[in-house]
Amino acid sequence: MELIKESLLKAAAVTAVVLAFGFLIGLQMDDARTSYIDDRISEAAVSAQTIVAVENYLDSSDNYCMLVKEEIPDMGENNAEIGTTLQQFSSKGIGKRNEYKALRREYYVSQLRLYNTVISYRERCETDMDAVMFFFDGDLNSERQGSVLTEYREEVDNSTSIFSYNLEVEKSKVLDVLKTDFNITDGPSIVINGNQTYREYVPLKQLKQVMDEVDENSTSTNKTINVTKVAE
Amino acid sequence: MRPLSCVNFRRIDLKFFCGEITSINLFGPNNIVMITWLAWLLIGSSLFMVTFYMNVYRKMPVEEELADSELDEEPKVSILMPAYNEEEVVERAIRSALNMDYSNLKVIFVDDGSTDRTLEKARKYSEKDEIKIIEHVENQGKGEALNTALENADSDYTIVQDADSQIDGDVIRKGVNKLDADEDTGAVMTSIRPLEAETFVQKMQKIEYTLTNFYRNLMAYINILDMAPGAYSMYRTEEVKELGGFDEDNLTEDLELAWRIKKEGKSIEMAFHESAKTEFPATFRQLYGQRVRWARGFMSNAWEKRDMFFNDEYGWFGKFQLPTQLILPVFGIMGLAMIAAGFWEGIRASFIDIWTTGLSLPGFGGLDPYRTALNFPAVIYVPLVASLSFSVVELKVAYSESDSRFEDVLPLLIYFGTFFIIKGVFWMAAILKELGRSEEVWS
Repeated sequence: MELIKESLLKAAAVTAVVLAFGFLIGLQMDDARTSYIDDRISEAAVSAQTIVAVENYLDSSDNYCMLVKEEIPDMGENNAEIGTTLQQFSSKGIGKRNEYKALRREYYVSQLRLYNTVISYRERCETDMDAVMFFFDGDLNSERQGSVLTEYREEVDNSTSIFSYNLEVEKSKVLDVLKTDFNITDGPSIVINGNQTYREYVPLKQLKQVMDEVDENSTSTNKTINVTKVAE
Repeated sequence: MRPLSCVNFRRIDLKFFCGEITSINLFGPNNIVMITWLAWLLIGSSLFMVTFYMNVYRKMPVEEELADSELDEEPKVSILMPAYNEEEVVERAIRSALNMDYSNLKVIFVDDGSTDRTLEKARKYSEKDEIKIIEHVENQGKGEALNTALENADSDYTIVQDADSQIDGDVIRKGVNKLDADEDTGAVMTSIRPLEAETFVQKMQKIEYTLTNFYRNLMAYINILDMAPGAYSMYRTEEVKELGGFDEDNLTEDLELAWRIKKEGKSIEMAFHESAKTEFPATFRQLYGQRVRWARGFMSNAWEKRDMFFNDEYGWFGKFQLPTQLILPVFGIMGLAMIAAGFWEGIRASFIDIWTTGLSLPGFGGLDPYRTALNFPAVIYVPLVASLSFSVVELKVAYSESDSRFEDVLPLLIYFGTFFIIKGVFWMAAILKELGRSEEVWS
């Protein structure tokens, strides 16, 4: 029957047009998303570079410590938001896979910069601000460790900076260096202030104890990682 | 893979965003393309069907209703009315049949071993010449009850009417006219409407049937209608007998007979503006029982008559209608699976959080409106919104065509939001029951 054929063709055409329209809007949104993250990473890089640059010109530690003390919480928050946004956006992207991979690498570099700033701040200003690197994978305990760290930062000590690294993402030099440096193979693993590594799930109670001990013995040597060496 | 946001800092991300995006992330971030394709398949198929029928509607002549009666002599018509435990409604059904404005009519009532007062109530009308009451001492099933009635029918035309249905108007004459005038017509059905729509579940079905009646009318116009429901359908008596009567081992004997009629190359027509009013299931449990039975009946009929699928011999009925009827439930189940998986991931994330750190109130971080807007998965939602808009337009047309007044906003929203999921549940249950070969009795 001609009417059925005609209706099938028209329905196919309308459906194709609507889906194509959705696809084009999706591509536009992808562009906007990657630009947004790119801008945020650039801002974070400028903030971190500013601290490094200014550090050499500030003659007194007091001035440096004051500056960094004000900057680090914002930078940490910004960095966390970039991570969250990156994950959300990349999970909604229909194209731009390579762009997201590149952004993730940049993000890891940015995290490392911030990590070094925190460690440097700890050393120079003798504060008890802690930096925790968290390496995770798809394992259930990784998810639990993520919840523990979130809870710790929110409920126990919001000055702690947490830097999360997904062990399952595509190759990143930063990630490779960190894994080698701290001998990380599986998630969950956490590295506290660059000198205490736990390669297993650490429950909240135990984490609190560990962090208390760390704060009491905060004279330990902290390790700073050379960003320029690992940045691509 | 757990999203990175879940191991980052702000609890609002953990509680809200993780749950929200999990349907996407569930199978790993690399599988976004697969999820998008799946969503497109579901949305695209819905959009396709709506557009297809809207085009048929546009091309359908304004007055396609079956002709009004101009019969010189009214041929003999039998109404086959099987009943099993219908004491609450049986009298209403008998009265409505006996009160029809048609002179040459006989009701053949078969009580299929009811354990309540159905038979007693039916016997109140036994003195009338227009009704014959037959009793099955034991419950044998609807197919057997219909065949008993059919054996006792000596009419030109036969109507099947459920004992919980009610008919009125000119529905009999319109059916007779059509069957009398066109030898290629094998059955005539009518719109199905609710006797009452008081409960929420009934209101949802009222919306569903408004759409279904509209679609069936369009299907009839393009000769792909695949249904002659038990609530009310008219056939030529001899033809049904020659076809072997009703399938006694079938959960949906009405559907089975309709497909046999199609197999004979006959069409099924619809008297859209006439209606049979019937009891809609009032509770979700009743609806579940009915729909699972229908789904199982469809599956067994599809298997038995699998040779009709994609078969050129049966025209568009075989090439388009039957495959579509088979594919749509599959899509419903896929949609259900996607949503269930999303919910599961959200619940799982919350469970892990509570298990690990105990119950605590979520924190509230500042929301960046631009970032929130960018988070919108346009590639899925733009076609979805378009598809829903088309569906709303079609619903409006369906209401307008069926002279119905729209009354219930909330059931409509729920219908659009959940009914396909609920249907997915029915189909899943039906598949499981079929696999388990569980027994089913008619009620």
